[in-house]
Amino acid sequence: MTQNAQSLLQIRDLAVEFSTDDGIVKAVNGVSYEVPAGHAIGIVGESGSGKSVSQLAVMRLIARPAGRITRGEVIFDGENLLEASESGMRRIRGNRISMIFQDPMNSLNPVYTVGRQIEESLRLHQGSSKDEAHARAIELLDLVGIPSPEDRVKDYPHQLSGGMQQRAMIAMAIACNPELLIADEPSTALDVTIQAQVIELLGELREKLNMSVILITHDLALVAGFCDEVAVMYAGYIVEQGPAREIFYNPQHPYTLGLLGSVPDLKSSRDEKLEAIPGVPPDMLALPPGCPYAERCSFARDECLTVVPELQEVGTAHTIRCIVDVKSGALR
Amino acid sequence: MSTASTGSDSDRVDGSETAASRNGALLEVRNLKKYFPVHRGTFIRRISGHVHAVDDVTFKVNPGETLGLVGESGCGKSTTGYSLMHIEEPTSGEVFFEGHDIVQLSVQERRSARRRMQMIFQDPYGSLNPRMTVGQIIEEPLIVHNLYESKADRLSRTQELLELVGLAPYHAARYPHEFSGGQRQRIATARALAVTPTFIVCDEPVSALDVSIQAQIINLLQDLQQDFGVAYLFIAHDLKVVRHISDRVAVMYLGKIVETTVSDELYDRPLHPYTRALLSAVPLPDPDLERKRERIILPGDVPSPINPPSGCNFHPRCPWAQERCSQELPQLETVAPGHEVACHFWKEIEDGGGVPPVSAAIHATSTTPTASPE
Ligand SMILES: Nc1ncnc2c1ncn2[C@@H]1O[C@H](COP(=O)(O)OP(=O)(O)OP(=O)(O)O)[C@@H](O)[C@H]1O
Ligand SMILES: Nc1ncnc2c1ncn2[C@@H]1O[C@H](COP(=O)(O)OP(=O)(O)OP(=O)(O)O)[C@@H](O)[C@H]1O
Ligand code: SF4
Ligand SMILES: [Mg+2]
Ligand SMILES: [Mg+2]
Repeated sequence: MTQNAQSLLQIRDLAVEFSTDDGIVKAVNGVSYEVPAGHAIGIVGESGSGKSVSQLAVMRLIARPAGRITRGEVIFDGENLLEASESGMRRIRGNRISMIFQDPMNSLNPVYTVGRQIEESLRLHQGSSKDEAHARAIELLDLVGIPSPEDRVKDYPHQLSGGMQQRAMIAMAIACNPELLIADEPSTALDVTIQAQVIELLGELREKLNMSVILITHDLALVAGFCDEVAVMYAGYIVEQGPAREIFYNPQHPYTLGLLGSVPDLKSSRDEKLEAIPGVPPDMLALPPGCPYAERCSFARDECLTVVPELQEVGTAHTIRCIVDVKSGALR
Repeated sequence: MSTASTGSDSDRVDGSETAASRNGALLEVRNLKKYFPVHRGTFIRRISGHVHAVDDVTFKVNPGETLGLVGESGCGKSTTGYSLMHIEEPTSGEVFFEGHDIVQLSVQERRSARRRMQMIFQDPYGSLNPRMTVGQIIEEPLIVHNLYESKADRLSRTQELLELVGLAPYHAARYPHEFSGGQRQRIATARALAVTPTFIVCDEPVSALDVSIQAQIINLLQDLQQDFGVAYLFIAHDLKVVRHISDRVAVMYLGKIVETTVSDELYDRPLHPYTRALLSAVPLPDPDLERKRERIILPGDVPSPINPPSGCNFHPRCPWAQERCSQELPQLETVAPGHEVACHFWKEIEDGGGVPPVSAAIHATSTTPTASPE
C-alpha cells in the first residue's frame, strides 16, 4: 500500500454513512489504501466493521437514499469513480471491476440458468454473439472446475451445490477478464475442504489472468497465504495496514494483537488459555469520541479516550491508528 | 464456587454414585443410527429412501472430559447430539448415561437423567424464547425440575448463575433481543448450568460469533468445566477450536466416525485421509508457512447421505482410494491407545509419509491442475 504511481486503485479518505430511524450509522470513517496492479489485498475485521460497505462504495452500490458517501476519492486507473456518470459506472462494473457479493442472492438470479447469466454479461460488455457467448460460458465453467460444463451451463442455480454456486459466481465475475476482482467472503458459507478448493482456484485465476484482488473476510488466517497486503478494520476505521508478513509477524495495533491471540492454533495445548478480547464492539450509532477500540483495549490510556488516533507510520508501508507502543506500553 | 451447588448437593452425590458404569464412562453411545425417511409424490406420499444422517456411531465420554465432534456441514453432528439426548428418537442403537440405558429408565429416572444432561444450541438468536426475560429463561428449568422451594431461592440462584457466566444481576430483567450473540450464548450457558448437569452437548456454541467473542465463550466453557467437572460433547466444524477445547476428538464424515484420537495426536499423527485433508485445509495465520504448506485439495463435493457411496463412503474423494475401498466398509481399528481409525490403507499411507499419489494432485476436474506440490 505504498504511494505507487502504478496503483490500479487508490482509495483516499473514504467515508460512508447511513440514516436510520435510530440515528446516523457511521459505517466507514475515512479509509485510505492502494491496490497496485496484480496485487491481492486482504480486508479483515469483525461483523459490522464496514468491510462490505467500503467495497460497495467503490462500486457505487451504496443503497440510497439511506446511505451516502460523505467524502473521499476512489481513483481507478486515473479516474475518480465517485464523480463518474451512472452510465460510465455501468461500463466499469462487471467488466473492468467485478464483485463477488457476500449475499449470493445478489449475484445469481434464481430464474435464469447459470449459462444465460454469464452470456448476458459477455454480450453486454464485450458485444459477443450468441454462439460466442455460449461457447465462452462453457469455457468459463470449465475454468472454475465445474464438471461436465456443457450440461451444467443449462442448470439453474438451485441445481448446484453451495461450492458449485460459488464457482459459478466466480465464473460470472471473471467473464470479462476484470482488472480488479472484489471477493466479499467468497468462501465463508462453505466447508473447510470446499473453502480450500475455492481459495486455491482464486489464486490460480489471479495468476493466470493477472488480476488484482481485494479479498474480504473475517478470518484473519485466510488472508495469510493469499494476500500481499492486509488491512484490519474496526468500527469503520482501518486500524492497521501493511505487508502481510508485517501484520502477522510484527503486529502493532492492540486489536490486531487481540485478534491473533483469540484464535487457537493447531498445536497449542489445552492448558494455554486464549487471550480473549473482553467486551463487544461499539455501537455504530454512537461511536465514542476517542479510539473506537479503547473500551476493550488493555493498553488504553486517558489520551485514547479523547481523539481518534491519527495514522502513524510504524514500518515500511506499515501504518496503525494507535498512540501507544505495544512493546513498551508507553505513548509513541 | 460453592454457591453453584446450593440445593443440589444431594443430586451430585447421587449422580457420581451411578456414574461408575462398567468402564467408567459417563456417557456411552453404541451403534447409534438415525435415518430420516425421504418422501416422494404429492398426493400419495411414498418413502423413496432414507437420509443416513447418523450411521452406526459408537463413542464414549468420560466424566469431566471434553470429546470434540468435528466434520463438515451435513455430516450428522447435530443429529448425533439430538439422538443421544432423545430429542430425536434414534432409529436404533443404545445410549448409556451414568451406566443406565436411557431407554430402559422409568419415567422418573429418565427425568432425573435428563436434568444431568443438557444441551446448548448453535443459534444464539433462535434458541432463547424472545417473550421471556433472561431471568425467566434461566429460572424455568429450576421450576420444571422442582429444585428450589421458594421463589426467593430461585431468584438468588438465577443471579448467581448470571454472575458465573460473566453477566450482571440487572440483566435478569431484560429480553434476549437486547443482547449480542456472545451474551446470548452466555445466557444459554447459564440456563444449561442451572440444574447442575454432569454432561452438556454444546452444538456449535461459537460458530455464529465473531472471533474475538468466540474466545470469551471458549474460555468460559473451560473455566466452568474446571470448577464443576462437567463433561462436554463439543460439536463444531472448526478444527482449530475443537482441537483446542477437547481432550479427545472424533472426526465424522457422512454419518460415520472415521477417526478418534487424543487432541495432541490429531495434529501429530492424523491417519485417516479425510482427517489429513481437513488438517491441511485449515488456514493458519502464518504467511511463510501458508506459502510452503502442501494442501490436500479434495476433489468434488460431499456426496448425498441419501445414497451414500458403497464401501468406504469417502472413496470417491479420497486421493488414496483403491479397488477394495469401493467394495468393503472399513471398520474402526485401534492403532494406539485411544486412537482409532477406519481406513483400509492407513498403515500404507502413513508409511508412505502421507503424501497423496500423483493422480490426486488433480482438481475437481481434469482441466484445472493444482499448483502442484513440487
Ligand atoms: N443499508 C444499510 N442501512 C443502515 N445501516 C447499514 C446498511 N448497510 C450496512 N449498514 C451498517 O454499516 C455497518 C458496516 O456494515 P458492513 O456490511 O460493511 O459490515 P461488514 O464488515 O461487511 O460485516 P460482516 O462481516 O457482517 O459482513 C454496520 O454497522 C451495518 O449495520
Ligand atoms: N429432520 C430431518 N429430516 C430429514 N433430514 C434431516 C433432518 N435433520 C437432518 N437431516 C439431514 O441429516 C443430515 C445430517 O444433518 P445434521 O444437521 O446432523 O448435520 P450437521 O453435521 O450438524 O451439519 P451442520 O454443520 O450444517 O450443522 C443432513 O443431510 C441433513 O440434511
Ligand atoms: S478406506 Fe480407502 S477410500 Fe476410505 S479413506 Fe481409506 S484409502 Fe481412502
Ligand atoms: Mg460484509
Ligand atoms: Mg449442526
